[in-house]
Amino acid sequence: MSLEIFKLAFLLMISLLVSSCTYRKEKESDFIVSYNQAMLDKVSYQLINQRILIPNCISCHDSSDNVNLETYSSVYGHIDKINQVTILNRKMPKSPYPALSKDKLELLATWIHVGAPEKPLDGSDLPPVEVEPLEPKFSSIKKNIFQNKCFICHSAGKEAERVSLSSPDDMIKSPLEIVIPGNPDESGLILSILPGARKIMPPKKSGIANLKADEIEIIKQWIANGAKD
Amino acid sequence: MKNAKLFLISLVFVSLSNSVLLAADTASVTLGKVVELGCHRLERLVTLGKIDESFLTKINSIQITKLQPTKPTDPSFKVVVTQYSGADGTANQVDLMMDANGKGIAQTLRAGADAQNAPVWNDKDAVSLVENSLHYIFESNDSEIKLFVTGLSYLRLKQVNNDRGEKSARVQMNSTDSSKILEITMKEDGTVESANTVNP
Repeated sequence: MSLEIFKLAFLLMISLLVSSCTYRKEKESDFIVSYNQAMLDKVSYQLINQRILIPNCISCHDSSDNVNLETYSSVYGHIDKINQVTILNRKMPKSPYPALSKDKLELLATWIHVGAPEKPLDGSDLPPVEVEPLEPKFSSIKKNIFQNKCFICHSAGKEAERVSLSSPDDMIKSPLEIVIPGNPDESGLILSILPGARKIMPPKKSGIANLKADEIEIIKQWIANGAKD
Repeated sequence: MKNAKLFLISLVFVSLSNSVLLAADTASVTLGKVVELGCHRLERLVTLGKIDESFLTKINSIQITKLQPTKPTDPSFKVVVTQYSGADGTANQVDLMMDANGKGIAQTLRAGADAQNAPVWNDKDAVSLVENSLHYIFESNDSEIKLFVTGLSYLRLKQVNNDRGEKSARVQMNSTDSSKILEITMKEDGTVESANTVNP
């Protein structure tokens, strides 16, 4: 009997020892998010949107099934959750997207700390964001669509590198017939992004939002026009 | 003048023979890869409504043959996809003609009876299970398994029960580079459980 109690106590000690080691390791490998004092009265939704939300969040959190973070009211409505999953737990952005840098985390924490204002508390403002219109050109499609929603997997060293979207030539020459110039309706690129596609891209498991109707239309136009540079 | 004619004739002859040689020699992809591209082609043809969806769900076997093209426009590979056979013993079949890079260039549908007793797959469809088995051999570093990438000639998909009595998918592959048969067993979600070579 006493031997069993001894065994139990020994196991308990070992497990406590192991869990404390793990805890210390996590703490050591992490950094503490502090506020950016210089930005306390300058940080605004517009700044956060430009520096953090658009480049890091919107490819998943747009008008898809995920939480929408495209407007100030929507972001403000989810501010506690954003604080929790981004700053406290560091669960967002999800893999394969890279984690936010220390600077970005501090900027976001500062903004939330001062109440997540739409405009800076000092009354100043950033110049309005110049939105570049999406055009049926490869450079525009690459910058505005592929960069945000495709290259995270379709690039060198990544999960789907064998399906290259990096140049019109790659897509035209691919045996998968990704792009058939002049024939968007039979091009694999279009067939895989249409709502209802059997294996829709981006895949559901990635969490990345599907392409919007206007984005699909622009890619169709580009292919119909010959899929040139 | 005569020399110029002779020169032109030789030029034409050389360029023609080069293109024939080129057509015969440019098969740059492995047989395994061509079969995988054939599976993608199959999916594309179904999406475009050119063949029936049963080609994704009721596949029984795929056979690949390397052809000897004599001109650049000739196909380099023929991939024959066969469904489970129907009541009269015939089966729906599609022949995919592929170029040297594995790009589909033509297809011929051979209608048979509707598949009978084709296994029902609850997660991935039959063609996706075949693709998963091919991805597995592409990523394998095992020299014996690699022989089925380079020399794949035939594969067959069937439903079996694993050791735990669970429904599983088994793909059996033949290769011209090996006297053995490779058996890949997967869960219904396409996760590979085992891969073994066995004697025929």
